Amino acid sequence: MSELLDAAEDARHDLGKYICMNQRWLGDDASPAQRLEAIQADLLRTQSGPGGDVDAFTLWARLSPPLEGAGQEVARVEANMLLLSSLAPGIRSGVLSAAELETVGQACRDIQDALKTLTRRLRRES
Amino acid sequence: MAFVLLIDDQDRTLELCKRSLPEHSYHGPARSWSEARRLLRRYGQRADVVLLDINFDIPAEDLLGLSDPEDPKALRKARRTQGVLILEKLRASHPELPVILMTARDDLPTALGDQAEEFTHFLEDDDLDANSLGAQIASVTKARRGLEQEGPIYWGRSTPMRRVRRLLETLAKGRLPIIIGGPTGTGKSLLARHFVHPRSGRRGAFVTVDLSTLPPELMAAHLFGSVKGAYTGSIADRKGAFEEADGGTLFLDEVGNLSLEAQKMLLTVLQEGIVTRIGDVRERRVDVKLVVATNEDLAEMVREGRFRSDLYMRLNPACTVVLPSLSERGVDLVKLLGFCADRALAGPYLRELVQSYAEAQGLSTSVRLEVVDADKAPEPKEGCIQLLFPKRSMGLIRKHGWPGNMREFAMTVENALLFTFAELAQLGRLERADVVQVRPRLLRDLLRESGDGRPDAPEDGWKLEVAVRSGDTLNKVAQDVERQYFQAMFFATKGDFQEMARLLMGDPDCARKVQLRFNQLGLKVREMRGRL
Repeated sequence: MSELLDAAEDARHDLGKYICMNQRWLGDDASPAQRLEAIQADLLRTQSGPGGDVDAFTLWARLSPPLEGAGQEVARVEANMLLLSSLAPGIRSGVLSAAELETVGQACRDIQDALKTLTRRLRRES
Repeated sequence: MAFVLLIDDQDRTLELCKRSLPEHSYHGPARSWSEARRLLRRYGQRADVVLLDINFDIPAEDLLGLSDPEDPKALRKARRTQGVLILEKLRASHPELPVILMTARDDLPTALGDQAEEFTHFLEDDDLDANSLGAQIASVTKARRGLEQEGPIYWGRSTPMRRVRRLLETLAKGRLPIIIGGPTGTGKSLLARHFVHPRSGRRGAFVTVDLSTLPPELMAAHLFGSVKGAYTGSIADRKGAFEEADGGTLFLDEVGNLSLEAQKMLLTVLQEGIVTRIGDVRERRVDVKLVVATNEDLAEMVREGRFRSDLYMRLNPACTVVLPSLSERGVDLVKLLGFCADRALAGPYLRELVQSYAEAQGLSTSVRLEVVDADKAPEPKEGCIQLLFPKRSMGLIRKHGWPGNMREFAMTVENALLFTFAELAQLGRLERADVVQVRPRLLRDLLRESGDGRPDAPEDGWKLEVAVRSGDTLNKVAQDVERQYFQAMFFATKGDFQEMARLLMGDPDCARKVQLRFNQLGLKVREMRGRL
């Protein structure tokens, strides 16, 4: 159980915290270009360090194995990651419609929320 | 604008802060405790708030609290709790610097314990954005500056002064009397005048009577008034202090000196709200907020029959406010230095000295003084002479007992400035004239003159044991005594070898010799330091 909780905390910190950080700091009056820039920073440079940038998809591939079958929250993250993967070419090339920008933003927020809920539930249960 | 320090292993928060909250000035990020320590040393005094992350994905060698670098679990734990460990270290040197922890409170890997006090704030990192952080910085800064603006003599941010503040905020508004206790020179009358009276909501005058300067036979007339002919020399009707203070506040300093006759009359005034002038029959209604101060133990005086117990009970002893001595206000010292320097600068002689120094050095003559607690010269500040109190000077100030409290402190600061600027006036053009160092040697001399400089022994002296066993040589017994003497001195000087050398040999530079003798006697300094 404690290993599962550790894995959930890692996912929450490494992915959940950063997946919509730049988007959250945008004001309500942010332009589509600013939104796109924030999405790119959150999803393509989710983790940055001396070793270079790591995107959200690579991070999730690294973080998800120990969480497999941990509950519906993980399924929510999986579903959102799939959705984001389908939009990844547009995110990378910077070509996203207004509706797609909204979809991506919503998916990022949902991932953050799912990882937060998962961590809290596991902590209660441990 | 707030002065913000960042302790975070990532640049991201700093970038977002700079972009979204450009009105503040940011320094950092420090990526580990060793970097944070440097940052705090440089900017700690000026900082309004610290933003501290919890998780630090940094190399093992930079982590605090890592028991086994080879153990992945220990490594993970040290990284996940690094912010808490950094906070613990930070609190040792900056107990009241506001810190905003960027983590969910329920998400902290370990309980914060005592660190979760009023100067530590939390921001859910999941919800962290420009609005929430901006609001938090504004609220922390406002609270901090509010405290500073109140004036540090009777305010301050030390824990005992905060307790006094909370108590007085409530008592000032009520109608019950207030007893202010505390050692001499702690600012009791200042507190009554500048804090209690303005907050009492009373529009009448603030009247002070120092009972230590009044002859006992004149006390009653002075307090309650008199009519013509009531006593020899009473040539006209005269209002007493109670009438003068009607609708306002009456402050009776050194209330322990109140004569027994005046005590009885004061009791009547407190019970009935009525004052009768000496020699008169007419009763006058008065509405006075009474504040009394003493450095004596009134309860003890009651037991000894020197103070009426019924009067004592009327003075609201349960809510006595005791002002701390200066030695209990360590965290306020730098601010108090600044406050006293400003007050000293208002005096004509020092002002002239500083002005002529500034003129000779080509500085603006309308300078202000700012205290800096640092070893190195800080960056220049427009229109400001920075008074540099290096570590050794601050050490002397912190270690001194200040038996005369603020009075002694203010005089020492003024003397230190006078001697420093008088000496500087003899010198030619200086490279950094805007930075004036207050040297430890000068402070040592000033502090030696204000006390005998010896560490305080217990009232009945230090007790040393002499155990002589069969076959013990005189040398062994003498060493036993010497060892105990050195131990007592170590604890009395809080382990300061320079101070011990000064006391033993009159020369602080002989500290190495003292340390050597400690080693020869087998005294384990590290172990003793742990018991300080």
